[in-house]
Amino acid sequence: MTEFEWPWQYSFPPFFTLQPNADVRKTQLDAWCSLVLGWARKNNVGQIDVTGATSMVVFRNDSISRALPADGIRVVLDELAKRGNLEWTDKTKRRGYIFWRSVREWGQQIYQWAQDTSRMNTVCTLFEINQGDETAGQEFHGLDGDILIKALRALEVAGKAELMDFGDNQGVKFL
Amino acid sequence: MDRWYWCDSSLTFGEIVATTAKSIRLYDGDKKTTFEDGHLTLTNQRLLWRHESQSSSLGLHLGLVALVEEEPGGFTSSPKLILHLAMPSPSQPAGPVTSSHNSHIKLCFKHGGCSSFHQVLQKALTDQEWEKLTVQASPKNHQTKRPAGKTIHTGILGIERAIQAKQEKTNQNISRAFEDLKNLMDLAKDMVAISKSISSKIKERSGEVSADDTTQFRSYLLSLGIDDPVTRETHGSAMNYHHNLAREIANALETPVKEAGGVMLLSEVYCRINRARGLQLLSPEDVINACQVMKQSNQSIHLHTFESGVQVVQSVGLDQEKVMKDTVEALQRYETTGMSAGDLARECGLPLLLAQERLLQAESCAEAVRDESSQGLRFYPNLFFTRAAQ
Repeated sequence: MTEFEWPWQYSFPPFFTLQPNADVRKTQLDAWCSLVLGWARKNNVGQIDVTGATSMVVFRNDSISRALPADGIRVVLDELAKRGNLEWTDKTKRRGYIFWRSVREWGQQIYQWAQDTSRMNTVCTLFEINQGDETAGQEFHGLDGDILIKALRALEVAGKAELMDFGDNQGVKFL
Repeated sequence: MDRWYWCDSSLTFGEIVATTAKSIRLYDGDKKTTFEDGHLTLTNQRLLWRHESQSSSLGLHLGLVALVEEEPGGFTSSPKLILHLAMPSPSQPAGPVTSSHNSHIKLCFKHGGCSSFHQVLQKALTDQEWEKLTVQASPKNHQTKRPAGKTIHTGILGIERAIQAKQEKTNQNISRAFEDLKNLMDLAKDMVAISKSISSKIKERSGEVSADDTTQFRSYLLSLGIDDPVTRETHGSAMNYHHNLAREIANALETPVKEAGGVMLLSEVYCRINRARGLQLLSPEDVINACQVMKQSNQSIHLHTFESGVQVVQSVGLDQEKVMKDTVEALQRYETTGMSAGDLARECGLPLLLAQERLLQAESCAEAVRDESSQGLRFYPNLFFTRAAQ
């Protein structure tokens, strides 16, 4: 796995201060969103906890001794939520799922994989999909369990899959 | 001890008892005498000591007392008063002791009351009532008479007297000085009252200012040395006054403002115009009002208020774009470290407040971005835009 390549903004001190100028702030937030998503993708981060976010390496750069303050983190996460890349787990907005691909995109990828590996009309466990050896090369390998279910539910709504509950284990049948 | 003399216990003319004390023993110098357990009476002229069983008293004229000291009591001794005495007059009647080489006596207060007696005695000594009585003395009380016209210049008494006289004079001087001040304050009070009534009348426009009031007011002002008070009558309406003032300020400060880079803080304007005017100073309010009307009266400089509320006077021809360009250039020189308002102030020779305003202005134009950290507020060139475009 190659080292995550930090964007240039990451070592630009003003990046860690929310800019009051509206135009500048928009650009800044764009950069933040792509940084957070890129970092989450690289490190396979599925959930972000707001209280713990201040200590996350993505929100702080100790080499220039700058860190995005808590309200700044909130603004970035809200922006991500607005763009559909983040979904709060509850109304208190303390935790959120982070989607560096949208749920629909994940569903399509998984469906594509199922088609390619001719698993149509067969049942796979969720474990097989995000942890199994057969998906090792896929992007959704190691995907957060909750996000996986969300993706599969999206497929179910589209009539391409059917979720099954085996008590302690869950499975999916691709149609 | 030789200052005591025999006398009867009755008071002489004009003599008033100030206080008494019981169980007093007399000392000659530091030595005890047989005069003990006596009744001591202090009058405004004498000290009288009488043993209860005797009818005649020992008298001591207060004029002889030069200094009184208090000697606190201990376990075995009672509190005492030490009286330092001057030489007796030769005409003094005979006493129990004809001569003594001690020039002080002690009064031993066996049953206390020493301090309070001391206070009353001190007061009697300061009042010096026997002096007044000597002037109008009747032949009857020749006993208390002192050689007239003779002031003592030597000895402890002389020094005491001199100091006392000096103190009295100082006291008089001080009270006279305060009297003057009081007069002035009374006058000022009147003036304030009149000016208040005049201003309230002007405000309400209910009653005309009477000619009487005006002349009185004027006379007060004249007495203070203001012979031509600046009033609405002499300068027309306030608006007119401010317009004239605006012209004056603009004329005086046009060049300095240009030299300062086209912008000058209002505080500096205030200082400079007052320095130029010398004695006829302007109030800050007048300066602000005058600056506010500069735009209307088309002066070469006018007032500009930044978003933060900082007010400056700037040249009409000030090229905002050039200012911005200069700021951005300065910012670029500090691209790696960021620039604080202080840095810009040094770089461009501006007041700190103005440098801060320039940076904020650059920020609002998306030319600068801020970095708030524990090291304070710094500004960087807006790389978000410039680098993204590359």
